[in-house]
Parts: sequence; structure tokens; C-alpha cells
Amino acid sequence: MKKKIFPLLILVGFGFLIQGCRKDVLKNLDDDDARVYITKYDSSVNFSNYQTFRLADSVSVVRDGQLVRHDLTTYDAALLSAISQQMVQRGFQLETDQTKVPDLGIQVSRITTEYTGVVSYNDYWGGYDSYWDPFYWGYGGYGYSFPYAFGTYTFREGALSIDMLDLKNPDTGANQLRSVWTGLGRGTGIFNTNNVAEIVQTLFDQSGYLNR
Amino acid sequence: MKTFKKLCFLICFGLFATATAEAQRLKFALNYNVAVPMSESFKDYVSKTSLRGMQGSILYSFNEQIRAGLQVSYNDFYEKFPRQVYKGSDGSDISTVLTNTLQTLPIMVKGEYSFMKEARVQPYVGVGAGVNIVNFEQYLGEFPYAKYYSKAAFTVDVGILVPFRKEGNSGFRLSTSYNYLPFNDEGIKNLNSWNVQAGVVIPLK
Repeated sequence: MKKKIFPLLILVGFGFLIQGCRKDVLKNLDDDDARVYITKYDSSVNFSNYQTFRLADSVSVVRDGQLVRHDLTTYDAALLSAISQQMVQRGFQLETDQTKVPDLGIQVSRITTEYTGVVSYNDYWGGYDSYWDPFYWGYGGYGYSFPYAFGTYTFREGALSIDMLDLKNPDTGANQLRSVWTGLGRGTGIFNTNNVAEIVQTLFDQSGYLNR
Repeated sequence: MKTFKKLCFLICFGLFATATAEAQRLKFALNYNVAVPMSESFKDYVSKTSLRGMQGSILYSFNEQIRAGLQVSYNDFYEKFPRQVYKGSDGSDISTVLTNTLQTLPIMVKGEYSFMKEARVQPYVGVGAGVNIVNFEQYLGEFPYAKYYSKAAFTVDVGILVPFRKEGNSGFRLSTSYNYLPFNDEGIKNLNSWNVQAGVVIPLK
């Protein structure tokens, strides 16, 4: 009996060794490493042709593909402020006169899902018109268009989306406002106020074309 | 991943079943295995040497010089690249920490030939062929992309057996091998590796 148990123990041990002999990827990532930042823009656009911008006064909260509310938490305020600072640093001028339509409109969305579900970025875009009414930018009856397409980015926990709209050149024929730049942040700590500066900095740093 | 773990256990218990059936002439070898990626595109994916590996075999001795049986190897390849911006296939710019991992599990029919009988140090050569189960996992930040593959596997090795006692059946084993592991997916062409093994041989009786 003892002679039979010995090789069995060795073989079972071999099995456990195989399972244990693997470096755990997630344990070797700190929170900063875990985040992914994705940007895309309309390459036909020359950003130096735009001068003024304005940010939406709140952030749209999208949960499981549905607009829940517009919000302005401490996190949201920090985020809008950081975006505004980046735009100013890059030579754009904040349009404070509410009676004027700026050249660029920036709107931000917090997209969250329950752990049981996943949402792809393309699905999120599909419902964009209902998240932000183009009327907000002075273009009632218009829709949004994205001349560039992302691959399918699927997220479980949440994502932050910053979309920049061309308000200077609305497509009056198709009644559409065109997005010229999108920044997407995903991963651990994406909704942590302490990470806002880094998130916005990274998204703008990798968009060197975004200059006056 | 669960399928992969189940497969590992099935292989181990399969080896055990074989072992108990023909215990008299069977020898079990368990080795620590270090693998160095050799193919260029494999090195582009993971350049670091895998120090997380092992190899087990159960070989039936037909005589004092020739033996054949089953060999299973395992290596975990891992490399983490610092944050940088990559161009996505959709034209997007992706800033991420990239972690490339890959696990190989070649399961092979193996034959070995020892040049000397009952020598204090017994040099041998071996050849093997079989199937290689590959778990490909690439992480953008914390987001994984994973896929399994099964491909052909070939190996040649040379080594020495040093019995613990004169005319003893158990001993120390030191070998080096070259694994030819054809692969042509995920931008990687072949998972060839140079390996060094050290371990023990134990008779199953």
C-alpha cells in the first residue's frame, strides 16, 4: 500500500505544481498599471481651426446602457476642471458667454455596469443621442455622428468617456453634430477623485494633435 | 483556465494509472525545467527565460539501454512591459501596461537510449513527439484576452543519469533539450525553446 501511495503523492504533487507554477498577472499590477486609456480622433480635422470650447455643466451617468441622470459630484467637478485646464494649456479658449456657441463642445459620461453584465463601447455609442440632448449645445433636432469607429471595448465595472463635438461645423444636411475626439478610460480606480489629474493628463498627452 | 487545470489533473492521473499497471520496469522522472524562448517572434512576445517550469515522465525500460513512455512538460512564460502608447487595430491610441503571458504543455511520446550500461554516469539521448497545449493570455492593463491552442510538439534531448547508489534504480538526472513547437497564431511563429532540466528518477515498484 505504501509503495502505491508514494508515486500517487508524487503525481498529485506534480499536478498542484503545474497549477501553482504560474505568475499571477493581476497581483503584479498596481492600480495605476491596471488602467487603460484609449483615444481616437477624426484625422480629417485640424484642431488649430478651432478656438473656443465649453464643457457641459454636468456629467451623464449611464448604467447598463441607460441614462440614469446628469450629475455633478466632487469627482465630476474635478474631472471637468482638469479637462478645462488641459484645453487651456493647449491654446484653446474657454467660452464663458452662454449666449455664444463655442467651436468645440465637450461632454463627459460615466458608464457603469453591474458585475453580471458587460457593455461594449459600441453599444454605448448606439444610445448616445439619449445621453446628451444636442439641444444642450443649441442644436435641437440634431443627432451625433462619429466618423471614426472603435473596436469593441468591453467593460464590466466602468468606463469614463470624454467626447469632443464640432459645434463650429454642424452637418446641417444630415442634422448631425460630429464628434472629433474621444477619450476613454477603463480599469481600477477610474472613478477615484485622486486619479482624475493622471487620467486626464494621460488622455491628452497621447493626443499630441490636440493643439491650437 | 478551468479546462486547462482539469486537463493537467487528467494527465497526472493518466500517468499514475499507467504507472501502477506496469510498475516493474517503469521509472518516474520529475524535473525542474528552465526554458529559454528561441523563435524570434516568440522572443518579441516574451523575451524572458521561464523559470517556472517542470517536466515529468514515465518511461518503460525494454532493456538496460532503451526505454520509452510518456513525457509531460510545463512552462509559464511571462513578461510585463511598462506603460506606453500602442496603435490599436481600429486606429485608436491605447496607453497601457502590457503583460504578455503564455503557458506551454507539450505531452509527448518519448524514447531514450543510454550509451552505457551500469556506468556511474550514464549519458543518454532522447526524442519525442506529441501535442502541445498552449494557453495564450495577453493583458492590456487588467483586461485579458485569452485563447487555447493545441499544436504539434517535437523534442530532442541529451543528458546524464547518475544513480544515487551503485547499480541503484533511482538517481539524479540532468539534461538539456530543444523543443520544436510549431505555432502560427497571435503574431507568433513557433514557440521553440531551449531547455535545461534537473531532477530525480524514481523506480515505480
